[in-house]
Order: sequence, then C-alpha cells, then structure tokens
Amino acid sequence: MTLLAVERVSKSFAGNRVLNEVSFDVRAGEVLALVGENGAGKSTVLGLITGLLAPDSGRVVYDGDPVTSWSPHRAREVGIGSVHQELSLNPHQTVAENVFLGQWPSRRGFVLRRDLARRARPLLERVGLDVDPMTRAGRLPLGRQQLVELAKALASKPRLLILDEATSALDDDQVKGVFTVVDELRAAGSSVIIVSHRMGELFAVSDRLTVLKDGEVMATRERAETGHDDIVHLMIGRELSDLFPPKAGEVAAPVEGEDALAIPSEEAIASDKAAAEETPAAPPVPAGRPVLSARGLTVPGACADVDLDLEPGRIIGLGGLQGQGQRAVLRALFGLVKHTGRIELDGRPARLASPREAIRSKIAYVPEDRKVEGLHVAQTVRANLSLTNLDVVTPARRLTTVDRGAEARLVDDLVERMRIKVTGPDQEARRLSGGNQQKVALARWLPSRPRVLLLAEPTRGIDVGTKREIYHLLRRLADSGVAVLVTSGDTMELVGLCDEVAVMYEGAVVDRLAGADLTEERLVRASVTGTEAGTNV
Amino acid sequence: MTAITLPRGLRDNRAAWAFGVLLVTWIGAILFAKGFDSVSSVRYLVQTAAFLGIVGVGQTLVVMMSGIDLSVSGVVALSAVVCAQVASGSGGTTGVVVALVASVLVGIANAAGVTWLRVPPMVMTLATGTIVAGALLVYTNGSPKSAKVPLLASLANDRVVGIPLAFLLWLGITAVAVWLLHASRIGRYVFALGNGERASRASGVPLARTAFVAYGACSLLAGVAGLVLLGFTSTSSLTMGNPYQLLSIASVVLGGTSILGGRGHVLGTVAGALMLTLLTALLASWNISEGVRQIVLGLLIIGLLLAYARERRS
Amino acid sequence: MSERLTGALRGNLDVAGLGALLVVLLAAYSHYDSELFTPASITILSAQFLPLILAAMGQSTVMLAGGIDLSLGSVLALAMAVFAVRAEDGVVVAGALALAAAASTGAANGVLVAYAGLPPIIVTLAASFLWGGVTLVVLPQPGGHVPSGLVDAYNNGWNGLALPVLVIVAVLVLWKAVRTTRFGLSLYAVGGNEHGAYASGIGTRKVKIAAYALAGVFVGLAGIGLAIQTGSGDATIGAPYTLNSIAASVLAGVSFFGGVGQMRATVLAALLIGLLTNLLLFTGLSPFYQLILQGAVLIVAIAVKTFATRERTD
Repeated sequence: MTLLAVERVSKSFAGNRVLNEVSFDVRAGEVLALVGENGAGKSTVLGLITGLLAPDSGRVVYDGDPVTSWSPHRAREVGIGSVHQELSLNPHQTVAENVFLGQWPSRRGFVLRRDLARRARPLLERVGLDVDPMTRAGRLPLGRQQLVELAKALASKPRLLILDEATSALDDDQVKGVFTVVDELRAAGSSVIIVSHRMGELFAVSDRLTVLKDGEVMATRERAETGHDDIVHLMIGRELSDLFPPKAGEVAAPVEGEDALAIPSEEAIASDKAAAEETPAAPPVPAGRPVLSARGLTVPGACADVDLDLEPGRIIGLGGLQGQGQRAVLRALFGLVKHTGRIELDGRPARLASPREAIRSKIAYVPEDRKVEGLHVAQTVRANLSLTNLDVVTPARRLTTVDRGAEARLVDDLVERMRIKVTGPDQEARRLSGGNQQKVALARWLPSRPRVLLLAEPTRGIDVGTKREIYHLLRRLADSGVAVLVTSGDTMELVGLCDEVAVMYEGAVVDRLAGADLTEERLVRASVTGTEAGTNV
Repeated sequence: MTAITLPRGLRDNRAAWAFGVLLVTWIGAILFAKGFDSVSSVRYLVQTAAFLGIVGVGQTLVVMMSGIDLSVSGVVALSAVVCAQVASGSGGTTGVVVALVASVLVGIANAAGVTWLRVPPMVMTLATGTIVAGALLVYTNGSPKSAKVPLLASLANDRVVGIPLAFLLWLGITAVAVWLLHASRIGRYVFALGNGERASRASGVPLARTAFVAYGACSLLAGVAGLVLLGFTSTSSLTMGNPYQLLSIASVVLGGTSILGGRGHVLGTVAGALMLTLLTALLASWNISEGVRQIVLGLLIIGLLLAYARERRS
Repeated sequence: MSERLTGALRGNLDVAGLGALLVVLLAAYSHYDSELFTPASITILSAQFLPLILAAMGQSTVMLAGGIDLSLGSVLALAMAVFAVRAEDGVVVAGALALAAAASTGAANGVLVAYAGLPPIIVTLAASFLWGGVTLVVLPQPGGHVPSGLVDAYNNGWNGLALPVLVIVAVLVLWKAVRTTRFGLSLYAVGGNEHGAYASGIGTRKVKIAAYALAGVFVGLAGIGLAIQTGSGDATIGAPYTLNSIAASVLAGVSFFGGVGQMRATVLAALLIGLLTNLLLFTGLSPFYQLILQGAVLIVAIAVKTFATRERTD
C-alpha cells in the first residue's frame, strides 16, 4: 500500500527550476532513501512533503488524498514527523518543552511542567538519550540535540518519519540507536524517508533508494538489487575513483607555486596516483620543524593539556567521538576562545588572543558552521572573497580605496581555480549549494598563503564529488608546505585523508595513530574506549 | 533572464526607489498643494532638509553595521549648547572646535561601550544620550545661552549661486560618506559587520576600529548638524535635538537601508531626509490639527515602507 | 541535590542579582526615609512606580517573542488620554475603552510585524507617529478629569489597601497563568527559534499578534494607572516610557533576540530604576545630575550583567 506519492511535481525559485516532474512513492512500512548530490533537489522535495513549500505543478498524495492547503501544522496533524540537519529546537526551552514543541499536552488549557517531563521520558529513552527532561536544550551538545529532535518527531506518533541528514552530528553508537528506532517504526507499519550523505548508513537501513540528480529522478532501486557504485554512478553521472589523494611522501615531487592553490585537474589526480603507485614503499616523511606547536593547550571546560605539532606538508586529524574538545582546540589556535598553554610559531612563543592575531601569523580557519561563522551568507561571493584579502585589493593600508579591477581579477581567479559554480561574482553566498559555499569559505584564505590551515568538519553535508575535490586540494596545499589540521566525525575521512590522527576523549588526546596503525578499526576503538588502542593487536 | 534580473535589480536598488518616490511626491506637491512651485520653496526645503540629512548620513554609517545611535538627539543639542556657551566667552571658532570635539567624544564612548563593554547599541546610545542631556542641564544650569556666531550663521543661511550653503555642506558630507562606505576598506568592514558579527570576527575584521569610525563619524555629523541649527536659529535649547532621534532613523530606512544592517546606500538617506522634510512641509500647509498631521505622517511612512522597504522573510 | 540547587540558582541569576540589589537600595532608601515601610509610603510609591513596571512588562512580552515596541510610549499616552477623557462618564467604561484602545493598537502593530515583513523596530517606530497622532486627536491639550475619589483611594490607600500593589500582583499572576498555557510556551518558542517554531506547526503569526496585543493590555493598564495617579491626561507624557521600558527589560535579562527572560526580573528591574530615581532626590544631589547617574547606572549594570552571564566557551 502506498502511503505517500509525489506525482510529477515541479518547483522553481526565482526562475531556476529546482524540481522537474519528480515522481516517487513511499509504501507503508518501508524505508526509502532519497539520495543525490547537493543541489539535486532533495531538500525541496522534503519541503513539499512537510508543508514548508508548495509545488508549482504536480501534487503530493498522502494516504490516498491529494494534499491541499498544506502547512507544517497540517502535515504534523496527519502524522508526518521530520528531523532536519538544521535544528528546529528552541535552545532556551527545556528538553521536555522541545519534545512537544507546538503540541504541548494541556489540562484545561494549562501546560504542566511535571506532566511534560513525565511524558517526555519514555520518548527520550526510546532514542537512547539519558538526559534530564528539564535541562535547557541549548546546553546539550549538537549530537544530543539532534536526538531530542528525533524524540520530538516521535512524539507526534508519525506514520511517515523524515530523517534529513538527521545523523550528521551523531557518533556511531548514536546512529545505531536511531536505526533501531527506524526498524521499530517499520515493524509497526510506519514509513521512513531518509536522506544522508553517508552511503553506508543508507544501505544499512533502507528498503529502496530513489536517486535525484539536477531536480529529476534518475532511478528507484531495491536495495537488494543495487550496490554502492551503482548509486554513486547514478548520483553524479560518472564513475568516481580516487576519493582520497596519496599521502605525504607518496608522491615524488612536491607541488609548488600557484598550482598548489587550485583544485587539481583530473590529469593531475591521475598522475599523482600513478606516481604513488610507482613509489614502492612510502619513504619516511621528513620530520620538518613544526610551524606551530602547542604544549598544554587548555580551554576551560572543553579541552585540557593538548600537545600538538603541526608540520609543513602534513595533514593532522583530530578524531574521537562528537564533542570531545576537538572544536575547542581549533578555535583556540585561531584565537576565538580564551585558552592557556604555550603556543610557538616557528619556535618562537606566540600569543593568539584574537582571530586577527592568528591571521597575521598566517593561520587560516574554515569553521564547521559555514552559515554563521564561515561566510557572510547574505553578501555576494565577491564580497566574501575580497573581505579576507583587502590587503591585496587596496593599494595601501587603512582608509584606502578598494581597487575594483584588482578585486574582480582576484575573485574571477579564485572562482576558476576552485571551480566554484556561481552565476556570477554578484551571486549571494546563501544561494550556493553547500559544497560551493565550502569552496568559497576555503578559497577566501588562499591568496594570503596561509602556513597553517585549520578546518572543522570540512565536508559535512557536502556531496561526494566536492568532497573529493576538497581532499585533493588539501593534499596539494600540504604538499606545497602548508600545515593542515582537520577535525572530523567521519572516520573514513580521517583515515583516508590524514597522515596522523590524534584521538581525543573528554578533552584530552588519548592516542595518536599514523602509518599502518591508522585504520578505521583502531580509530574507532580509541575513540570509544578513550585509551590507547595499542600497536600490536 | 530578465525575469531573474529585473526583480533583483529593483530590490537591490531601494535607494533608487526612494528617489523615485521623492520625485513623485514632489511633483504631486507642486500640482496639488500651494506654495511648492517656487524656487524659493525648493531652496527652503533643501536648506531645512540639510539639518536632518546630515544627522541621517551619520546614522546610516551606524545602521549599516547593525548598530543604531539614539544619542544623536543629545549630541545635536550638546554641540549647539556648548558652542553657544563657549562662543560667548572665547569666540566662535573656539566654540565650534570645542563643540565638535565634545560630539566626537560621545561617539567614542558609544563605540567603547558597544565593543568593549558589549552593551547592546540601542541601550548604550540611549544611556549616553541620557547622560549628555543630564550633563547639559548641569553645564547650563538649565538655561542655555543664545549666541550669534557669524561663521555658523552664514553657513546656515548664505547661498552660493543661489544654492543654500547648508545644502552644499550636506552634499559634501554625503560625498565623503559615499566614499567611506562604498569605496573604502572601512566600508567593506562596515558591510561585513552588518551581515554578521561572528563571521566578521572569524574573517579578521577589526571590530573595534570599525565601530569607532562609524559611531565617531555619526556623532561628529550630529554635532555638525547642531552647529548649523545654531547658526540657523541663533539660539540653543536643551531639547532642540529631540526630533532627530527617530526622524534620522526614519530617513535612513525610507532611503532603503535595511535597519538590520549590511544592505543599502548612503544616497538613499538623502532621498529619505528630503522626503520626510517634504511630507512634513506638505502636511503643515494643510489646515489640519497636529494630531491628524501626525496620523497622516505615520500612515504615509508605513505605506512607503510597505511599498519598498520590506525585508525578505528568512 | 546540590546540582539541582545550582541549576535553580543559575536559572534565576537575574532575579537573585536584582533582588540583592533591591535590598541594598531599600536599605539605603530607608536610611533617608524612615517611613519607607509604612503602608502610606508603600502605597504612594507603588502608585508612582506602577506605570513603568507595567510598561516594562509589556515591552518584555514583545521582546520575549523576538520583537520590540518603540510605540509603547504613544500607546501608553493613548490609554491615559482615553481614560482621562471618559473617566467622568464612568470609570469602568473608561477603563474598558482605554484597554480596548491599547490592546487593538498593539494588535495592529502585531499584524504589521507578522504580515508586512517589516522589522519590528521600524514598524513600531512608524506606528509611534501614528498612535501619537491619535492621542493628540483624543486629547489635544493636557486635561480630562479623573474622579478625585478614585485618585485619592489609589494614591493614599483604599480601606488600608495599596491598590497599585494589588494591580501589579494581579497582573503578575495573570502573566504566570498565560506563561503556562500553550500560547505562553509558543511565545517563548517563537522568540527562541522562529523558523523551528513554524516548522513544528506553531502559528507564528498568530502568536506574534497575540503577544503585541497582550503587551497592549499591560501598557494600557500602565496608562490608566498614570491617569489615576496624576488625576488627568497628557498626550505628551508617554515618550520616556518607551526607552525606560526597554532599559528595564534589558536590565532584567530579557534578550533582544527573544526567547529568554523572566517577568519577575522585569518587575524587579523596573522597581529598581524607579527607586534609584527617588533615592537620588533624597541624597540632595541637584536633580540635574539625575539623568547622568541614570545613564551611567544603566551602562554599568548591563556591562556587569553581560560579563557575568557570558557563556563559558565562545
């Protein structure tokens, strides 16, 4: 039986057709995965289903009836619950209040707090969340907030649950918990639509997969009859190989000059790969002097006594479960949070009290939150790219006039080298897809030639094609002498990209993995146990 | 393509809209009201609009970086009162200099409070405005002086080739502000701040320096307006700045600048100030009570805002 | 247990801090006025403070929903004028009319904010002209007359009861009840995360309109209180209440961004501001210094608050 059918739906924004005659259905008691690159139209489809948007043509049929006068309120009433990557929680209200957000149970018009807490508890337990329902939601780490969001969706006893990148901030254990809930729902005859960039998760949990590309449905496949490669091929329209570049020392000649500041061409990627294969055994990485070294780096309440050496040519990862202090380390090194400990730049003590001082020391930071901290999303691509390069586009310092010609050249050059898809330099950053936003967030630092590059979750919510480009760019930068530090919740990414991974647990570095020891299994073990995984297992 | 570019072009050019509405209003005034068709009426209008316009240009700088300056009313009075007081003892030039320095000091205090003490701009500038009002009471013992400062009198009343000097001063100030906000490096910082403080901090925007320039310039201009007003009326009073507090903000917004910051153009404020002055004059020419006049003005402002100053829903 | 205690304390930091300050202030006050804690003194003081307390509650209501009301002073004056003009025909009818006027102007503000896509600060700024005009039409000159029996009972106690205190307590109880309804929770939800609230099926527009209307009721009561306290109406008396109500709300920890704050704290903060003003009179300081001190206290208090409650990490 079909619970929901999307029938020949089209939708345009400001003349851009985002969805073109999209049709698919969800059966009762099944889990449907909706896959596609950023900008393929997944969020728009989900917006139509949850009542946030209305279609230009075509219709959505729910439970046999075409939906009219749809709104989030109506959708929720008829049993559609959703969890989005962007949280809809109110950080200032309690967990219990959030779980029943908008549909608080009341007695004679009054909502009793104790009542709320009592009713919230079983829902929180169900999603594996052990928190006091009276805690303010904003005090929980991001991953737990996402679970509150799931509990909130379950509170309306959904017949259709939508999980839109709902596991992006969760660690593996939490993800398993979510899948248990999904299985329970399926067993009870409810349906689930799941969207995720983590292909493994989709294959683990879904019954069918519908692939969207450029606003059109490419295919719908039974999970049993398809594979990872098939789906990726449908998504991006080509084969994808060499997701990760070779590691430090595996390519003979280091990259120099301007080439390092661009996303490498397909030929360059291929030749790097060939060179890496020819190199019989990776020569030991030259232990260069660290550009930046930290000793006893401490941010009260977030991380303690962290030692780090960032050397030119190496990509260091910060791993571990969500929220173990990785973020604080990066923010401290960029002068965004107060910290103690000794930091040396080129062997000389340095004080990084503000981002300006960090930038002056040639440190660059690409934060995880692109929309709030990484970019000025309401401003143009041009304004974003030139803001960090005003030294380049103003002839002298201080109150000087911006050279518009130089600015245009700088922007065009960066857009081309980073292959940023824009309609023009005047396009607003918020209109770009997540992947292109991330490219802008990265590109804006390149002209000033940073020596240390700090990245938090560099590929979160980004499609696989752009991921690959970013990985190769980061390696290029490293090869040209940049020291790179990356945090990521994606184990595969850390293992594939980094030369060394420092595993953090409760604010401290508990293990460092490199070379043959850097495997997903060891990384996960160290992350979960908070102890050294050991070298001889 | 036009379907995409046209609305975008219109939306981003709210300053042009402001001039369009101004033009239509003015033509309407000439056609349907008495006394708006003479050269002298135009002259008088641009001259009186200059007082509000100069304050408005300064307010634009602050609003563009997501701030707001409610102390302009206090500063207008401060500058006029101090100048009148000092001029009666030590001469006009000293009076002017002391008045402007005092004005800038208020701006510096505003910026310091907003950046270092992290007091919200609305509260900080409200507080400094209150302090200034109190300080003036103490300074003048409640009765401010009149003063005829020849320099200011000619600045406010003289004409060059028939054009009021006050209007020319306003245009000159606007030209500098256009450069500062739309061509200089500081302008980029102002727009960046107006579009997000956290992203600006993480991009290395000098938050303090930008705030000091914007608030400092705003207070300086409010001070200049106070001096021109002193020249115009030859008297100073403790409440002479009061109308400018809300009207300067209204002129900024009617000029198409977003009150949330980061979007707009200084030139729009020129249109906004002219429009408010024109509307006020128009209403004054009708034989209606003060209350009805205010109602009409309020409705007109709301109507104009609805027509072209709406923020898009996020 | 201790965790719960510190949690409760943290949640009530504003109330606790303001309460402590209030005790200090009251101690100082009783030093100058030994009769402070007599019923007569409490009655007359509460009559004096009631308008600001209720106005601040109105402002806080709007701010909790993520808005702001710059027309508050005009609405207060409108309610005062309506009551003063009609009071002789029957106090109850006049009160109902005044409340209805205030609530409907509030709702009109809310409709504009909710549907027009204009930022609240601008809508209510324009509306302040509008409602100010309406007030002038109702009462062009200060006047009107409130029956002297009511004025006397209100200011000097009625059968030994301090009526203003009763009113404030009743309004607080009313708020407490509203706070626990779905509307109350929605108010906080819309202020804390508007998009999230909308996506969760809350009618954000209705909530906003209701919030502004409720604020109108509080402000209307404030206006009526002011009319009874002074015995007549004055269309121009409302202005200072706009900014003072914002100051009190901010002092109480109500966030400019919505969703955060407690009404108890607002009442304490408004009381604090009122007491401070009176205390300055007692110290024999020239009243000219009052404004300076008020402004300085506002800056210091908010700066201290900001630093004390700054989030631990970033």
